[in-house]
Parts: sequence; C-alpha cells; structure tokens
Amino acid sequence: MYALAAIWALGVLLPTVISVFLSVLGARGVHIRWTVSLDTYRVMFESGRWEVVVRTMGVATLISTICLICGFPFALWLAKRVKSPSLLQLIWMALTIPFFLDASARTIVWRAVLGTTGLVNATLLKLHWIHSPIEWLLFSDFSVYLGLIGPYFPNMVMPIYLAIVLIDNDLLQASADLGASPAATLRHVVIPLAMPGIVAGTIFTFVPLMGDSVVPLILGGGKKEYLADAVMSLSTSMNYSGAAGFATIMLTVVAVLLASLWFARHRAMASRIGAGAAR
Amino acid sequence: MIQGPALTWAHRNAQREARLTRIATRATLIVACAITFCIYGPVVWLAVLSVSADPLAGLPGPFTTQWYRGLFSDQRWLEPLERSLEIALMVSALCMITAAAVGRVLPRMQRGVGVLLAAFLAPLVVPGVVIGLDIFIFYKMFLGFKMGTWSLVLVHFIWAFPFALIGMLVVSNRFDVRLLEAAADLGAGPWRRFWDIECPLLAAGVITAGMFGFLLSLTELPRSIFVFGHTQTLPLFTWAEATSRGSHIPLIYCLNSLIAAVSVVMSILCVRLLGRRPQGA
Repeated sequence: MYALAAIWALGVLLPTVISVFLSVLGARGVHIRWTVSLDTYRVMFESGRWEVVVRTMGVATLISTICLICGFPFALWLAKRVKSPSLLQLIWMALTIPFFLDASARTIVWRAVLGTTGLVNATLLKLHWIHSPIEWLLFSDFSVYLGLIGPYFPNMVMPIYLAIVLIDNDLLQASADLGASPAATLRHVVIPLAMPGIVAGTIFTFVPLMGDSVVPLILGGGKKEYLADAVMSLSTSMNYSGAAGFATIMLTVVAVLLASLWFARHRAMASRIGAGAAR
Repeated sequence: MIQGPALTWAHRNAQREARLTRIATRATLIVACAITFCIYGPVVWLAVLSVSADPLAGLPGPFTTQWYRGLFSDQRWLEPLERSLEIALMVSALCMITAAAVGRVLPRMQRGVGVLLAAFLAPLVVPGVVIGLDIFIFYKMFLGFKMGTWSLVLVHFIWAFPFALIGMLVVSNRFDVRLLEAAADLGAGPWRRFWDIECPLLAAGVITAGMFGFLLSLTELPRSIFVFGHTQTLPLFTWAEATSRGSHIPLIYCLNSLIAAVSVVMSILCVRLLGRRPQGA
C-alpha cells in the first residue's frame, strides 16, 4: 500500500508537474538545456500565442456556465424528486456511458449532421425552409460549442448530485416550516450546502474543457487554435519547452481552481455547523 | 384564528409556488433531455450511418451491410485493434490489482486517508494533454526511455486508476470489518479470511475496477497522442483518419459503432454491479 503510494508519487505525480521545470529550462529537440530562463514565456507573448489562452479560457468558462445553469436544477431534481431506484439507475447509466466513448468517433459524426450536405441542411432543403445550405453550422464557434456541451455535462451533474443528496430533508422541511419560500430555501439552505459539489462540478467540467483537443480540431476546422491544439502542434514541431509553457499555464489554472474548492468546503462546513446550531 | 382574506392570500401564494415549481421542473427536464440528446444523438447517428450506403450524405439510406463486410476485406484496422485490446487488458489487470490493494486498505486507515485519496485522484483534475506531454517529457527527455506500448499502458493506467479506485471504494466502504474479526474468532487464518470473506464481498468492486480500466483504455486518445512511439491504437487510428479527411470514414463508423455497443453493455454491467446491495445488508 505505502509502496504503491510511493511509486505513484514518483512515477506519476512528479512527472505531472515536470512541465513547470521544463518551461523555465528550455529545450532543443528532445535535449534539455540546463539554463534557467523565462524565454518560453517571452516568446509566447511576443508571438501573440497568448491569445490562445484567453480564447480557451473564454470558451471553457462559457460552456461550464451553461453546464452549471442546466446541470444544477437537474441534479436537484435527481437528488430530491426521483424516487424510483430503477429510474435513478437508468439516469446514472446514461451519465456514465459518455466516459467510455471514443472522442474522435462521437465528434466526427457531427460533421455528417451539421455539414453543408449534412442531416440538418438536407432536411431543411427538402422541406423548402431554406434555399441554400446554412454555412455557419459547421467549422464555426457554434459547432465547437455544440460538440463540447454534451460530453462534459455529466461531469457537472455528478458532483452536484452527490452534494445535494447529503442534504438532510429535515433541514429543507424546517426551512419551509419557518415560512421560507422554496426560492429562499434554495438560496439560503440548498445552494450554500451544495457549494462544494458546485465547485467540484465546475472543476471537473472546466478542466477537461480547457484541455479538449478533439472537438475544436474536428468541428472548428482548425480555424482557431485552442490550448490543447497549441500543446499538440508545438510538441509535433518538437518545441517542447513551448508546449511545456502552455501546460504550465493549465496546471496553474487547475491549482487556482483547487484552492477555491478548498475554500468552498471550509465555508460549507462552517455553514453546516451553523445550520446544526440553528436547529 | 386565521381570517378569511389572509387564508386566501396564503392559499394563492402556495398555489403560485406549486405552479412555479412545476414549470421549473419541466424546464429542467426539457433542457436535460436536450443535452442528453447532444450526447447520444451522435452515437445513434454513428450506428445509423454505418449501415447507410452513402455515410457522408445528409439523409441516410439506402441501408446496406456493405461497410461491415468491408471490415473483412480492408484489414488495416486489425493491428490497431489488437494493440488496443492488448493494452486495455493490461491496464484492466493493473487496475484490478492496484485498486483492490489500495481500496481495501483506505477505508480501514485511521489517519492520512484524505492525503492519500487526494494523491490517487489527482489525475482527474489534470487535463489529458498535460499528462500525455508531461509523461513524455519526464520519461523520454529527462530519463531517455523509448516510447512504446509500455508508455501507452502507463498513461492509460494514470487515466483509469482514479475511476477504478472510486468504483472499488463504493464497494469496500460498505464492507464490514467485523466480519473478519468474527472469522478470526472462529479460527480462520489470514489466507482463509482473505479468500473466503474479503474476496467474495469485494469482488464486485474489483470487477468494476477492471471494466473501468478496460473501457477507459480502449477509447483513450489525448494522452496517447504524446507517448505512442511506433505503436498504433484504435483511437489513434480513428483520430488520424478523422483529422486527415481520410477515405476510411465508413470503416471508422462501423468499428466505432461496435466499440460503442460494447461500451454501453459494459457500462450497464458496471452500474448494476455497483448499485447491487450485498446480500443480507
């Protein structure tokens, strides 16, 4: 057990942060230059590639927000309204399966749906609703957003569900008995107690969104570069320190998000104690 | 005594709240259905197009099995599939052993559980491309190893292990340690206790861990892209075809429809295994 933990720390966790070091060391091909410099980041700014970071963060924030707005009420319904165990199991299955699907296969099908000769355009043309195919459906921001929403929705729902399921029904009843409207109960009881789940869900959605390498390339048509594409294309051209620079930026974002999760857990614990005292 | 007007006001208020709740519930479900459609629509469409004569046309049909028959004549997919299965089986075995070893001890530990759990689950919050790149940098650039099947197994294992461990913990958290004490009191030795009590009760978790490992490895792409060396797996093959506008799209549709079918069946088994309550509990 401890041996496994040690192997894990040395063989997995240590390598996972190695890009931080490489990005300040620099490299020529696969050879490391053992001099410390910030050249990687200077080049990133001077070449204007930092825009990739801004763009990716923007898209990841947008899609996470959509997933949160749609996912929170769904998780609430799942946790407090669904009584039938078989329905619950069915929904859990539906939420689990996306983890086990081939990303490029499930993404490339969108081309057959959204393309100029695709399903949507062919159907609309046949119905004579449009006279020429809609161009912006594929290889646009729209298709990238559409391709990203589905696969990461379960990542948002699952942690929120797990947090809401833990909220005692007596607490909600007490809030109602004291005259709180459902909206007030939601705002003052449910949301504060579900906050760790909300933050965890946001992390589990935002992080893979930030690192998605498949959807923007297949559905965006390579018009706009995203973080994962930048890492991949830099490493294909053997610019490993540049790739490590972008990887470091992603790791930094992850660290900030994890810190906020830690903060949210402490807040929730404090309010749980408060709620207990009030009871 | 509540007066008449106050009563009707409270009543109307309650009615309005009930109506709002109903509308909100309905809206939630409609949105959730739409998003579920975004997940499953493409998968279903993949299967529909795989039996359509012109898979790149908008409307499907006429229907044919020619692409599936084509799988027998054009066998370039065979080697990537073999590699993928080989790697998936290795990752699956690794996941079963390690998840069992870690998962059976963690719930019984008194201290340090949080730190260990955080360490083992950490890869969940690191983007796939970062793990792929960093494993390459560490093992290839710093240590000078050659990339190949072993590095694919490693990155797939890093991806799958947290899920395997969670699956294992769902089961091992329910395990009652007093059963082992009872067995010891009745004179069972350590091996007997392990084989006759722990193994049957924790089997569901171990099997789930193995299935998670198998499925996640079989379809893993973002990490593989950095460490494949000269080995080609099926997702890498699909990816190469998908990004190069290759001519094998119908082939890809067939293969991935089959893999999606396997994934769906195995995920159903996983959820059922984990949802099953142990007998007598």
